[in-house]
Amino acid sequence: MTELRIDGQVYQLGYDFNSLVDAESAAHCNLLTAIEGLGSGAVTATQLRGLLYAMVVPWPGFPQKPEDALKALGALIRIDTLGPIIFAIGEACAAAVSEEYLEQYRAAMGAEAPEPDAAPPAAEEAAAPKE
Amino acid sequence: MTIAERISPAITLAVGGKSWRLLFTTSVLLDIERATGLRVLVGEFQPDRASARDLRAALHALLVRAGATFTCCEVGKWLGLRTVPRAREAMAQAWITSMPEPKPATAHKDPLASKPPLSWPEAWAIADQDLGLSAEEWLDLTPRMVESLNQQRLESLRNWELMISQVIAANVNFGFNPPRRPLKPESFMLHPWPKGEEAESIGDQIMQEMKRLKQ
Repeated sequence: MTELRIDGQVYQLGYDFNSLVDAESAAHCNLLTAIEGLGSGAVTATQLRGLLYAMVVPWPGFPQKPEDALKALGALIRIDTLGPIIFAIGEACAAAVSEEYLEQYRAAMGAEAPEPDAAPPAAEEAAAPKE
Repeated sequence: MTIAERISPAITLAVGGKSWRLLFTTSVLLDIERATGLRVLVGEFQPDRASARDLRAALHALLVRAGATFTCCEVGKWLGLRTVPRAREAMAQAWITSMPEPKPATAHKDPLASKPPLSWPEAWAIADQDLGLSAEEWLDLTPRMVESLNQQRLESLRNWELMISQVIAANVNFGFNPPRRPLKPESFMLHPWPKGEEAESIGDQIMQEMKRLKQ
């Protein structure tokens, strides 16, 4: 299982093909091409939300209805959390292949997940009031 | 072993410690359509671009045809990120060997090209009425085999039409009021050969041989 931290909350992510199938019906998109597109960044917002829904381990109080769950997970995907979420999904996929592959993935991605709370410089600049 | 397994190239996939023969028969295509809701005859299902749901459904249908007793969920459990590319590759190969060869592009306009794609009842009717296949035989054949049978039927039909057309053409060309330019027998064929694919009659072959001997 891979951990994803957003706003101090820890979410567990894991790959399961049957969950992908169920999530595709709810998200109405092809999640296999989404996984293939993770490396190149060719993932749509719908696909990213669908992938998160497919991989996240439901926590107590997790919405029962798929559309509610998708909305709840969609709310987690923000500009500042986009990087960590994509990294965690990639890590969960790499872990599903093998330990060795996971190590390679971590090495390629710079060992650590980007901090969700640290907004990217471009976003900080945009948010800063102009003088 | 069915006739389709005997004459189709062997594409196999190892699942659960056993090697399974992958073959897209009519029965498998119908199972995929029922499980996914995709219209297979229209080309909505493509193994190389299949979604997770379609890939699982197709692989399950293929394995069940081959004699496996896996449930759809068990197939999904087997489909890890390592096995998905292998399954996709095998399915794509099985698809190519099971489907008819794509028709070569021709210069002249094919009147059949604008026809809407077949529906399943129409495909069954052709198999039953024109090809004389029983329902079980049809379900066990691949579309490539059905197409081969259909081509053979068409060829036989054309040969018969050509024979009759030669009699008609002779009657017309040597009748009381013959046309200025003699009509070709092909003019009277209901299913003429596409341009450039006309069958050589035995007479033509003899004439060619004679020409060669003369030279």
